[in-house]
Amino acid sequence: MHEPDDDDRAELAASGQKIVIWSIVLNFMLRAVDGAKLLPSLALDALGFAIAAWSLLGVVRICSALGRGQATKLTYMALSFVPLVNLVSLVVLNVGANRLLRQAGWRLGLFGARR
Amino acid sequence: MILATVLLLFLPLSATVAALVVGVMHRDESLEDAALVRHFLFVMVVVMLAASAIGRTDGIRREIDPQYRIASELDADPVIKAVEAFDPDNATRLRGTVAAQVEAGATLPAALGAARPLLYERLRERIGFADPATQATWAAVVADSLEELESTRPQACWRVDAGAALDDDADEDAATQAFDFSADNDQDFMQAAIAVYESADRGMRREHPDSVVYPSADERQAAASALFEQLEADYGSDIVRALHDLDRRAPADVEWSQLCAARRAELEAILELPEPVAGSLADSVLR
Repeated sequence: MHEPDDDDRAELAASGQKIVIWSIVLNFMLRAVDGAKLLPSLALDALGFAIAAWSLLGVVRICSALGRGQATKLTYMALSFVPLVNLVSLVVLNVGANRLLRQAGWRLGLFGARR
Repeated sequence: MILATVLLLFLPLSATVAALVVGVMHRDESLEDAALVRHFLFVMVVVMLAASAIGRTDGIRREIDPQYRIASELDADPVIKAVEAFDPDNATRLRGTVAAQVEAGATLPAALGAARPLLYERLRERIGFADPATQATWAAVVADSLEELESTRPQACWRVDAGAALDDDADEDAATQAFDFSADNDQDFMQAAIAVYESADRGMRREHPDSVVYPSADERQAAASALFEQLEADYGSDIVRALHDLDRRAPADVEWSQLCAARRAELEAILELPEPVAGSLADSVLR
């Protein structure tokens, strides 16, 4: 595994942040679909699992961008499944990612950062 | 409460176990991000499936799900089984009443004991179809029950005997609370209840064995007359009239304790008669 340079890290942080943001949006949409009873519960569970898996990838990418080790990545992944604590952990990761992206000259927006 | 906690902790605990397992399995290597997520999710799904399988076993469900435990206890109870088999219309109501009591902290025998008025009314409708031996057994249990109430709560004694208040839903709680029999009496009552249900079912289908002996009309009439005269001599005609009032109306001007004592004396006298006659007369006075 090669050590990423600053550009790679910023790319990783930006893509991880986008994944996390979109998975949050998708989660809201899933809740709306659930409330409207548009899909059977098994399909909703499968979609929920897929979104959770995708958001984990985002969390791990941000951790990688911030130079966190494997144990920390696993901790953040586990925390992603703890109600309320997952929000705090996302905020912590996001603050770190924003700082990294600003230093790399990226512009921050509601749906992620742009070069 | 326990079930809600388990459900709430299911995902966090599974994720934590998965993180620990993956961390230990790959402690000497650094996985790529996608591989790390893949490993984590795989282990987490395995942990969730294993936990879910364990959680579905009978022993664990009994521990974590009180509703399941209560339902299992009710399913296994012979009285509930008998009611469900022979009196399904009453089974839902009985199960609901008993389950509510158990949820509130009562033991199953105590909850069934408290639900006796619900059973009593239905058994009274069936006792006429039971064989004489079962009718006599039922009369003995009723006599024992009345004896327990006679000295302390003669009015409750009358209500037990008459099944009073059971037609009035508003008064049902009071009636249920009023009957507080000993554990032995509750047990005898439940055994007799099962016997009455079973025997009455056979009787309704005309399947009593040929060995069952019924009294002749003359035997029965003679025993009833003698009993009636003895009761009138001992307790007076007002009491005897109240005892044999078909509408089971609560009398206005007789002593509850007298009424209770008279009914018990009547049942005890009946139980001293030969079984076929005893069963037949018990049916007449308890129906």
